Amino acid sequence: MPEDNKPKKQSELGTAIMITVGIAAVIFVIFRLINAGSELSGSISRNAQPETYQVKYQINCESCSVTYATRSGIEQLDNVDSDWTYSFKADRFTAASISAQNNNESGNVTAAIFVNGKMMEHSKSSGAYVIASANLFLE
Amino acid sequence: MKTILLFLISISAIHAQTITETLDTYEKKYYNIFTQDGSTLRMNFLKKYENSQEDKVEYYFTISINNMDTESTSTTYGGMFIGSLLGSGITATYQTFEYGGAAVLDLEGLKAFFACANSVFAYINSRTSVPDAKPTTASCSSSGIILSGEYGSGVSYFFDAGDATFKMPPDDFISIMRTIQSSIREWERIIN
Repeated sequence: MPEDNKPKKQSELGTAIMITVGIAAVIFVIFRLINAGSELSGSISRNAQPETYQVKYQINCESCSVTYATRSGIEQLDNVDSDWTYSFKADRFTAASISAQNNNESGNVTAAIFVNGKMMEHSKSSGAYVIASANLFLE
Repeated sequence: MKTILLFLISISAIHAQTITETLDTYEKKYYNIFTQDGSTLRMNFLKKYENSQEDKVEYYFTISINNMDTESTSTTYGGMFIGSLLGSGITATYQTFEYGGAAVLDLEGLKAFFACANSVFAYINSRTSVPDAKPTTASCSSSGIILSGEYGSGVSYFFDAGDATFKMPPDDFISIMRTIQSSIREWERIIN
């Protein structure tokens, strides 16, 4: 009897090994497919959106007070005159913000945000102590 | 990707119907940090028109909080709620109701709200790039809603309207800002 069972046990063992190897292979293939998908979507995402932006604020006024966001916080200047600019590099998911208030009882104030050389936001106000502001969330 | 939901809100007319399309949306359930009650925060960019007068189109941005608990009820409630809100037009400021509250904003109101959120985010986010920055908070109020940010052991943002105060991670605040900014851009594109 033991001699008759030996080939049967070997056959069962072989089947079990084959099933185990098969399951492992399927798991490996699924794992690779999932990883390939995430790598692909990651590369598309990185290519679609740059990691950093060159941001420039521009103010035009005769005399105005300016408040603007920088990499390190919020800055304020009390007396800015014509064609003031400020540039900085910003990461993705950063808020760019600038506002200017006219210090005079008349005249125009403009505020603009440029990203990589292109004007993205622009605002113009006219009159006594008016405010022009531009806000942009860098996606 | 924008999902366009279409739902009908019949107000009164026999033949005419008021149609409201949701052009952009943000929706998430939060727990009030003081009461632990669950509420749904919704922001919707809406297009409203009469089916008999499609040339007369109005746009709104609604910010609403629904205190109803169950999702199925809140979904129905949300649709009816927005309909009744739009019936009264622009509210400009957040108004509370029995089951929550809402603000209905025009484009200028939405821009002001965005500027408020942007300024809070700009300052709090800047703390993360300053070495040894001290714990700090920043807040701003627009349309009766207070937006705050907190930098300390981590970064958190807060949405405070009526009797609801929600704490949210930066990712949620970013999603809200992206929804608002895309709505503003779409709104400006439509009217220009």
